[in-house]
Amino acid sequence: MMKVKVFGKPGCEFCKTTMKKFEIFLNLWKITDKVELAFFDMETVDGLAEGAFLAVSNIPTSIIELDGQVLARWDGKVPVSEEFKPHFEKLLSD
Amino acid sequence: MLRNELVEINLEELSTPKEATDLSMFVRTSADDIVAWNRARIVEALIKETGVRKELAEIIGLEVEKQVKKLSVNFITAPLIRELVDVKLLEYGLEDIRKKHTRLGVPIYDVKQIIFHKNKENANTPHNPEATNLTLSENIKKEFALLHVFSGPVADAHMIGDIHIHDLGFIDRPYCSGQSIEFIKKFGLSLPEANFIALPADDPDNLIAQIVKFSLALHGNFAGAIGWDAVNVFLAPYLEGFGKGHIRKLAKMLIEEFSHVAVARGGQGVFSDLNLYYEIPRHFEEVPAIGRGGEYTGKKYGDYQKEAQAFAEALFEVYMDGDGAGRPYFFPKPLVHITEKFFKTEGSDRFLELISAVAAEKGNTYYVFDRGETAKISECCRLSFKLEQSDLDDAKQPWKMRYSALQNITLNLPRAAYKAEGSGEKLFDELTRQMELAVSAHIHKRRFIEELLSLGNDGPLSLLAMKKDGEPYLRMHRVTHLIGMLGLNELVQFHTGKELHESDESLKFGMKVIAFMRLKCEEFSKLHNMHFVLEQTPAESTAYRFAKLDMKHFTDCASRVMKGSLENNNIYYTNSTYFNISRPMNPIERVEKEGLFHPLIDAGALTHVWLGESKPPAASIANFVVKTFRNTTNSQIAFSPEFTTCNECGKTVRGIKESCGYCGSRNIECMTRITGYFSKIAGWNKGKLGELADRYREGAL
Repeated sequence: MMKVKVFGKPGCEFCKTTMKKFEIFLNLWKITDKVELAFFDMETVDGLAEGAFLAVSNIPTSIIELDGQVLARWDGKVPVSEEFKPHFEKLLSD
Repeated sequence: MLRNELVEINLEELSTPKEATDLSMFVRTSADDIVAWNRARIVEALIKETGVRKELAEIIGLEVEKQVKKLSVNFITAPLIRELVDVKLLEYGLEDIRKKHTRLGVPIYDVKQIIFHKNKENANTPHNPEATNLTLSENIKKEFALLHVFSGPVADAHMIGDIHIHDLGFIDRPYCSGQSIEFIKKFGLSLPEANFIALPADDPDNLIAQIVKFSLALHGNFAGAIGWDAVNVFLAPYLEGFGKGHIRKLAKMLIEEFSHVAVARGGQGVFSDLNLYYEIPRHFEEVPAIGRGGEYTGKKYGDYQKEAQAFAEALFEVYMDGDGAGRPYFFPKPLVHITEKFFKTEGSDRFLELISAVAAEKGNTYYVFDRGETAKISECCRLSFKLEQSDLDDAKQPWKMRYSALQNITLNLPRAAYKAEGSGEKLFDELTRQMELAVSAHIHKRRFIEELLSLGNDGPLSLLAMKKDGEPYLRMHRVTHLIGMLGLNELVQFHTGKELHESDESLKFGMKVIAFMRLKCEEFSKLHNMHFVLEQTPAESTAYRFAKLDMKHFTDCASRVMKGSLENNNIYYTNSTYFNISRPMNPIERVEKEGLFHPLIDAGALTHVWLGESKPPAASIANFVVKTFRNTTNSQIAFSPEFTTCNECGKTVRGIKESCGYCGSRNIECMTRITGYFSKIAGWNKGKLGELADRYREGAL
């Protein structure tokens, strides 16, 4: 299962934009049932702990994982769709 | 006898004359005098010291007098009378009054132990009359703190080992301080209570002497480390035009003057830290430089990079030589800040090689990683003051950059797990309770220090209250309150069944605990308008103390996770958030994984690479440092070799030996890094000896 983890804080506009962006494109590509998108609030214990485990030190950070392996990550910025699209190519071609 | 009955009897007897006594007894007083028995003294002392009603004080006095009459002795000491009064107060159920009236002191057996045997509470304390004075006074101040400064629940929590309040014997001082030498350069040495005034230094020798003297003065006002920021940068204006040889002589003077302090004074050495930069930090680049006589030189610190670099290099050349026996200098500790700008600075490759050669040869170098925009002052075993925007604004007037941690409280994490009995909810409830106790302890200490500071120039903290630049030296609005942790590894092991290194799940659970503590700190900071921050407690004695207490009170639970040797009682908990110290692990993996915790711990964290006898090439260490900076979130690393010095032939060899490899003498001293500084192993407590035996040494990097 592919996972997209977005790390941010509720008051961070860039974090909201990042989350929205993944929602829109995963919907557009019709792969929402194949990709789990999750937001990790860095102001909560679970969010902060998961962020620490993945060495997240800036927000927003986005991480794409496949079976627990990190495929790509963007630290402290909103990724552009051209950058993350290649990681979903296999799902798009299925 | 019931209390009411006792009171009735006493009220009847009170009709006898108060001053009269038919006792032909004499009292040895605490004022070195022998006086006739006088019951009124008991009454007066009770009223004065405890505020108790006169009638009650007279009842107690009478009761004690009756008891003394039965003793049939000619002399009695004032402390014994006080004890009898205290027992009477206990009989009356007047515990709060007894606490106020009690006498603090040390049993004669303990005094003898302290005078004859080395204090192993702190390996930085030597054993001599001045040092035993320190230990004895610490004992009394510790009792005073637990009875007078902290509330009953907080004192009890410390006593039973739920939390550990560090440096109780230094209750009337803040914990550690970090500052820049600009204060001395600008104001000279004009300190309250001092019988001389020194103007700002007019040459570097004089400045170095003033730095060391001021460090000593600060050492008398703080419990722990005295850290100096960007020392080479701020010394640079004094070095203009000097040749390499002269600069090296000054570097040696600075190191040796700090090193000699313990020898000269006899007491504890100054735990001193020199923060060093190869580049000029961005926040100091445009700051007008202060030079000889405290006058501005007309240049900015950015113009003194060459001199600052020359002094940093000279310091490390001296560290490389070591002391007269070739051993590492124990103090001052050099902390080199590794930043993005460091790598962009010309010559940094060569400098990194030099400091890494020192790390390999002597182990002195601490590598402090300031990534991104982070800037900090580091000191103590790993404590750091992260500079906020307001601090960077203060950098325009660097003498204002004075920071302090007021106190350090460590939580007994394994015990929280024992009490939770496997329940996550109970575990986090217990951690909350421990943190609330720690916060209360900080509030109590802060209140006490503020009371002392309010006495200003007439008080014991006049140095910290002095206002040379309009603000007190100790800027209370910028102090931090440290909350440390001990034995995360054992908490996780007990709660999940696996140690931190054994699975991602256990590691994640450890992170959840520390994330919880960090967010609690933020919550309490807002609630109390105080700055609570997490620190990896060095826990030189606490790791042993908690282990002993838990083996006594939670034997079954503790023995399942305890580290060290249960047979000879060399037991310990793993320090702070460290992984099992005996676990063979690739050093970069250890640095990377332990480093995952570091961003959660704002007030300082460190990973040790224990070298033992091995001596990796400088280039390997330099490469390791670059990888650590680029690929991990680790805040600070240090490489620790071990040494043996022969007291007969004076030679020093690598490794911990049982006898001298040159002359065969068994009159030797072994040394290595304890929690965050070098010390002689003979002074280590049993817990740390257990840890030393378990340490996994890195064969190669």
